[in-house]
Amino acid sequence: MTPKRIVLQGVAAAPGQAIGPAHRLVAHALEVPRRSIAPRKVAAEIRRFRQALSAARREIRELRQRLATGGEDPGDQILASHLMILQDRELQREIVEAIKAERFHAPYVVRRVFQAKAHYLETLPSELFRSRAADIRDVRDRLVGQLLGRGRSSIAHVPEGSVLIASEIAPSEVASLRPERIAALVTQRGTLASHVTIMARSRGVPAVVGVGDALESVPSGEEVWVDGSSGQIVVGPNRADQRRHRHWREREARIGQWLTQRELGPGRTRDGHAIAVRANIDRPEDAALAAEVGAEGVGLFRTEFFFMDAAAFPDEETQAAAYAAVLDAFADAPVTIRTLDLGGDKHAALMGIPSEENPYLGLRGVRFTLEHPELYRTQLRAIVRAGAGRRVRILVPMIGSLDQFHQTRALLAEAREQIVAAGHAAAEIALGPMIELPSAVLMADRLAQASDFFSIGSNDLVQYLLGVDRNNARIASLFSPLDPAVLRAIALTLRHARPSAIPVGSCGEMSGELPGLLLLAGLGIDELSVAPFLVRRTKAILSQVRQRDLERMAGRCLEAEDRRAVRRIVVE
Amino acid sequence: MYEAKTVVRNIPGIHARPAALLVKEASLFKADVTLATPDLTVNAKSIMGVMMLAAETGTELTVRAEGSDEQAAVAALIRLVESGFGEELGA
Repeated sequence: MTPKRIVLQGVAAAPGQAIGPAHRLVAHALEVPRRSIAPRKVAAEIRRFRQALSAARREIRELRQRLATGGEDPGDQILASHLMILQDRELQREIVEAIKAERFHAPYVVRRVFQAKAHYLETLPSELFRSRAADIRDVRDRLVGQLLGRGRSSIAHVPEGSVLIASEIAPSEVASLRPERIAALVTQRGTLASHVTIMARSRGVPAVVGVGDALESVPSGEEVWVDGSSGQIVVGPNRADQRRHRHWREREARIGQWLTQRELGPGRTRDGHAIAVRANIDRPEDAALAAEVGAEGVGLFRTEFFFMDAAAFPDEETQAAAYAAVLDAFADAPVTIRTLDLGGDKHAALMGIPSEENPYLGLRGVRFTLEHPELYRTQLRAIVRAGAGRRVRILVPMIGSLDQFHQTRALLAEAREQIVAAGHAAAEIALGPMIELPSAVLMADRLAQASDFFSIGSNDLVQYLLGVDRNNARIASLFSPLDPAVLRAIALTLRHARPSAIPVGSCGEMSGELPGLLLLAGLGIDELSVAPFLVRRTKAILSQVRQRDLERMAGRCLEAEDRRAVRRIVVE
Repeated sequence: MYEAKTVVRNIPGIHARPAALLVKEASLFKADVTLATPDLTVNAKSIMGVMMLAAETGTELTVRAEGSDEQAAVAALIRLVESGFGEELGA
């Protein structure tokens, strides 16, 4: 009997496709029966609890040793904090007392005590504290797993080539995930800001997150087709699905062949039109990888990593060192550092920002940094210091008005004076706004006069222009960079920028995906910034097309009625 | 018993890292040490407790200690909170 074909929609987290057998990570620890113990067994049960504690601690120590990242790594910091929880005497006392008083077996009591704490944290208004509940559940499952003598099926031993399915990937597990072994990743919970999303994107593993409860119906072993670009999952794909996937794979293979055959220089089209291909990076350590794959600089260095895992906002010194590490990887090519973009879906909605009814329309990006000028000044000073003698650009997110840009320019000038006054060398820095709000598009002519460059953030531009939250799986299909309205906004931005002769780049996902990148090129973009694993691929695609053809195609798309018409034109 | 009050100054508050620092510092003393916000009192030597405290920037914090080195314990913890844990301070 052929299994029924089921289509599920989640949030597109990392691009690419795969078909493979589902491999479900089961959290056994969640099913713990309530079992009473005889009074004479209480002491033994407490001993068992203490043994499980030390076994769990040993497990974490071994995991840390195996990762051996040396303290700085956020994965290691998470494990260190879990170790502290397992060493908490007060907590142990609470559990031991409960075992004595209630006379239930240890796994049940452990689960109940941890659960109460996780629930409490989840009621707090601040996302920062709420997000620690995941750590508590993580430690709980490790401990209960020890007590029951059966851990969660290990994430490190997923059969090669399978589609990993889980309700969520715990923070401590992301570190031991082996992305080269799995075909794709699908989670029930999770958002675009989850650790696992960021890992998948930087390692090139197709991923869909936030699929919801429907994912529970997918059994292990069932064949699944995952499209991380659209967020669609097909359980039990039929012949037509298989064929579509095969076409996609063949196209990828052709591009892959090109990649290995060609020595790829700077990005240019077949008819010699130069389009710089740069890298988007999330962490300083990504810079070496970006340089290795031939990125012509960094088009977007996100600085929110400082806040991941709720680490601290670092001082000027620490930040300057992190920026210098990236600049060191690129001697001649420019590095674009984006100032803090908190709020919205970002981790550090964390940052003690009170929860907002509508965070995407709330205190995000430059709105937040201008509200916290000390944070902003520290970051600007750190960039000015690290950038001395290098090519540095500062990109300002969520610019919606000229005034915000002028204020930033003034703060930057002030930061520079302070650095010079302190006797340090200071960088000459190019400053540009992220074009992601419709208001910035409409004011782009005036913004261009005040800017050294533009960078179009297509993800947010699409979201704000079309009014679609891409974290909402129910309307995710409405999110499309191919909408003619989006193309017109980009065309308008480029036209507005031209009289000021400033370069215009694009750093959203559209820049590294077909057909988005062809349209961007056709509309006249100067730079494409993409994930490191897409750099060579993007260059290869450009080298196969003629700018003249792309311009003609883009011109026709601007006149198209809807995204379907756009797609038709591009396919031609 | 000895106690003193202060206000959480670092942004965004006593999250994972500052909590760990507080617990380590408190554990250096013999005295029993508690931290209290207007909502909750917890054992300062318990990481779980300090996590539950969830003290954001601007929260009023009472440090209380009882034991032979109670004054030194309170002083050390107050100093740590007021230093902002080496993090960015709120305006």
